Amino acid sequence: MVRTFVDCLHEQAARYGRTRWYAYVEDHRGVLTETGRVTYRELDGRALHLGSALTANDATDRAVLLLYPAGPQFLTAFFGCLYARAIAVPAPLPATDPRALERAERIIHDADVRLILTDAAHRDRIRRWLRATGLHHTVRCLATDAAHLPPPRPRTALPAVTPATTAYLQYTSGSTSEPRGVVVSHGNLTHNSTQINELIRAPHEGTGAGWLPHYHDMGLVGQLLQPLYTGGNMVIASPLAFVVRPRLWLEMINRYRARATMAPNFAYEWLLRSLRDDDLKDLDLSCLEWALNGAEPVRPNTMRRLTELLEPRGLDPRVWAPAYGMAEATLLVTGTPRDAGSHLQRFDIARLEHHHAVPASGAHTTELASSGRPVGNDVRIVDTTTRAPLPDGRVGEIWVASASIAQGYWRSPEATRQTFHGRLADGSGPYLRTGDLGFSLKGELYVTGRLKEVIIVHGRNLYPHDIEEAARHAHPAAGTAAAFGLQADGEHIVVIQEIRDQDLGALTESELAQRVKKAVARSTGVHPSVLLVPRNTIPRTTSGKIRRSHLKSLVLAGEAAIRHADTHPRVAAALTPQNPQGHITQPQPNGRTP
Amino acid sequence: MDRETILTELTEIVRDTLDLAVPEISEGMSLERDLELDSLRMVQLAVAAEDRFGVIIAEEETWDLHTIADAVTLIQRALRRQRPAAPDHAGGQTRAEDGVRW
Repeated sequence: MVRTFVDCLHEQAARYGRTRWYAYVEDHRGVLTETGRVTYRELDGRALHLGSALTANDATDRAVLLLYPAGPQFLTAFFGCLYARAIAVPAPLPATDPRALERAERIIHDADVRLILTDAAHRDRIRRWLRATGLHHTVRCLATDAAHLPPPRPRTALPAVTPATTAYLQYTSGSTSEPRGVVVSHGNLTHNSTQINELIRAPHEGTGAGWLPHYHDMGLVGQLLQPLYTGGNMVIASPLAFVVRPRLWLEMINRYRARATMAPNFAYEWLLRSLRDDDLKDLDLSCLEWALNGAEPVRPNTMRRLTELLEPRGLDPRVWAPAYGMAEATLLVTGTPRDAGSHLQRFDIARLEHHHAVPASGAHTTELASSGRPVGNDVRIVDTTTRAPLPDGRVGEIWVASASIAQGYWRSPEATRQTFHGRLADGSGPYLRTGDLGFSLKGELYVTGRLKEVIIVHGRNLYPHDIEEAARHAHPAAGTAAAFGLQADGEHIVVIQEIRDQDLGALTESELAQRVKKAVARSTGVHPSVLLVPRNTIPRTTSGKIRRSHLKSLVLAGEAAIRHADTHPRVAAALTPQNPQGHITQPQPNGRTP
Repeated sequence: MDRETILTELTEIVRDTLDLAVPEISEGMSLERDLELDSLRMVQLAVAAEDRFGVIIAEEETWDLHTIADAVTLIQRALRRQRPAAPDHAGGQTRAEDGVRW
């Protein structure tokens, strides 16, 4: 078994050479088009070359920020960092939006980044931004595809890498204002890759297809690194290409005869919403064996409806592989093996509300999809008050211990202690406290909710604090704000915004709601539903912290005094039946009721 | 291009690309409430508009869209600033600087 991903690339390149590859595809006016291909051997050679140059430039043991568009350049840069024993920090390429840049800036400060690697197409823009922020004094930005690298050193001259060596920092946790880099070691990565490999039954061949972003834990570990570990090929498109034309995903599977793919539930839902029957004629999906569904709540109905739609096109109903994981556990915590199929079960709603999972049928039940079984780890359901492990069928916080659990948050000892050093009542541990709620039943894990207040929209983790900051700055009349997620046929952001009437001026309530909406959309890329309330409506703890979940239950029970609502139709529908008093008045555009 | 022409083209995009059955589209309509567009549909709309009008629209610009009128204004603005597509590649290729610094 390989001990590090440096060994992994080297050995797999030696074993498979030019016969295994990563292919990159784009949508050219409705036609799936391959735009580039890199073999294991090419990747190894390029990474060695770049790694040598990085070593000569003092990048060893330092964080290197990788800002790349989707494409093969990122892979070279990532493995170049591993070869140089530099700490890779994959992050989204900042667009022109100031908040995305602000996030990159905070990562640069937090990880003490001195070097940014990018491609020639984006280098000048990033350099201009570095000059504008004054960061150019300490941070260099280089384009790896435009660099004249010195000749590579012999492999033996590269710094030693062991399982304890930090491989990369994953900044998917933490809010914009307080970014948290999950420290993932080579040992974590090889352990988790072994677990995923077991789930897909170690095929040592075959092709995967996907479009996840490489700066996302599932995109990096699952989509980019796993194929190399397993010894397969991978076909990759950009996330944008998928969103614009979802059928592209199925065409990739069909054309390359892909056996595995992975995505969050919203992506499967997006396929359902976008595909028409006459879209499907020439597709043959019988090659697909494993479709992981993870990174956000798994919805049985999505899988069922997509199966109905695609079964005539050869889709095997057993492809569904719900999974649960997070960057703090490298990627995977529980999963569904190939050929097993998803495990669905109905539970009594009333009992579930009291944290008891009781299988039931008929009315007043809800259907849950199991997120699969623990893979090579110790998963406990824990009572958060007593810290005692709970028996089967009882809902509590999900705690995990395994060699896949990351080293902690980069230079954040307090946050690391709180999240990574959980101890059970009997002192055993340490466990990762996931902040998610769930229960175990007959070896299967069901995830039912969250203790942490993160909101997950389209696979992205959004933090209430960031949303509330954006809302408060929308206008002087926008006072305290509270944000939470609401499940209404997918997750929605709801912002409860207090009005400071004295600052409203000529602005109407409807205009204020729109300003708040736009400010949040600018900050997160997602349009929230906005409910305006009078001052001092938002409940706080004695120490002044906003009680978001309490507020949410008040709003759902129709007990919040709402002065104006600007809501998504599905959010409005979720709120209205609970609200017989009719506190919520829906705006009526064009004289019709939504 | 005047607003009415843009509106006509937008109506076609909404019908053909987004596959929404709407009898008529007017500037006062809300993208979210009337057309039920979410952020994914918004990206599709923006990319279809880029194709149709030959303009470049940044993703962030779509976050400010609220009504059809906003979308028409955005396309007008994009048409006005339209220039021969010269992304940053232009100045990018192998400049000596990178060679020296490595």
